[in-house]
Amino acid sequence: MESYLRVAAELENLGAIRRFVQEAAAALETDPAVIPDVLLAVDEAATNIIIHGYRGRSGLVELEVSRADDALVIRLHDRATPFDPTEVPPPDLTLPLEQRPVGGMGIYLMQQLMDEVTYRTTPQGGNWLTMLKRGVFDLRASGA
Amino acid sequence: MEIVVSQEQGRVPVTVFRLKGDLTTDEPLYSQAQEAFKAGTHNLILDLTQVPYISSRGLRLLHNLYLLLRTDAPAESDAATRAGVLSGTFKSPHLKLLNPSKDALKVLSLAGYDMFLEIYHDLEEAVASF
Repeated sequence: MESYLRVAAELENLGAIRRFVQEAAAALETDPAVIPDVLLAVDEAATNIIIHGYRGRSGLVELEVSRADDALVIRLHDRATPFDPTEVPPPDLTLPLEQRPVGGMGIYLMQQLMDEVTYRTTPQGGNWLTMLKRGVFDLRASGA
Repeated sequence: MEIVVSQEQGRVPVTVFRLKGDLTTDEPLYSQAQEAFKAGTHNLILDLTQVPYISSRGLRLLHNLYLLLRTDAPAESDAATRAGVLSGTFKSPHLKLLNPSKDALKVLSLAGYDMFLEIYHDLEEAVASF
């Protein structure tokens, strides 16, 4: 089973995106304890696409939520300027706040909250960000 | 985001912002804090009891509030702050948090903000800490 959402790339739609992922993950019987982490990671990924990808231009964000073995899989697709979040260096958490840049924590949070984050572009254009959260299904209960 | 502002009196005056809703954007909270700062507020408690969720944009807000309230007192100099961070003893003397949710606390911890911001679960205790 796969759930799909396509929305305009606007910050006002972040709530709708979170609700969609919450409902799709629940429908797959994802361990409820991990859903807050997943929602925040998706929120950060979508925010990044909207703010740093589209940069105020109109566009779409597409989301797919599915299951692969014991992992919840979230895929985000957009046609914004290519931007690989996995290449952004992590923040230096040992610095005082005065010496840290304001902002820039979203990608780091996304990578900390999920078990795997990968990015690719397609020859047709467009960016795919795939995030996995492993060990979130009861394999015995589902008979997998 | 709903904000209810109140004043408490401990050893020093303390402003309390009771927030309701997800902390996912700077505004209107930062503007309200700036107004309070201009009106003389130097010590702020953010009551997060009714904030289920903090995103990186909420962290950005906390970072900006921290910078807004920072003074040039010797105890808050770059050198003192850095030494305090390295030894794990530095906390903002002007910005404190009350009752963050489990999920909010996790985000604060992942971002390392719990190293800079004291977290309380009792308002009176938080007010008395200034």
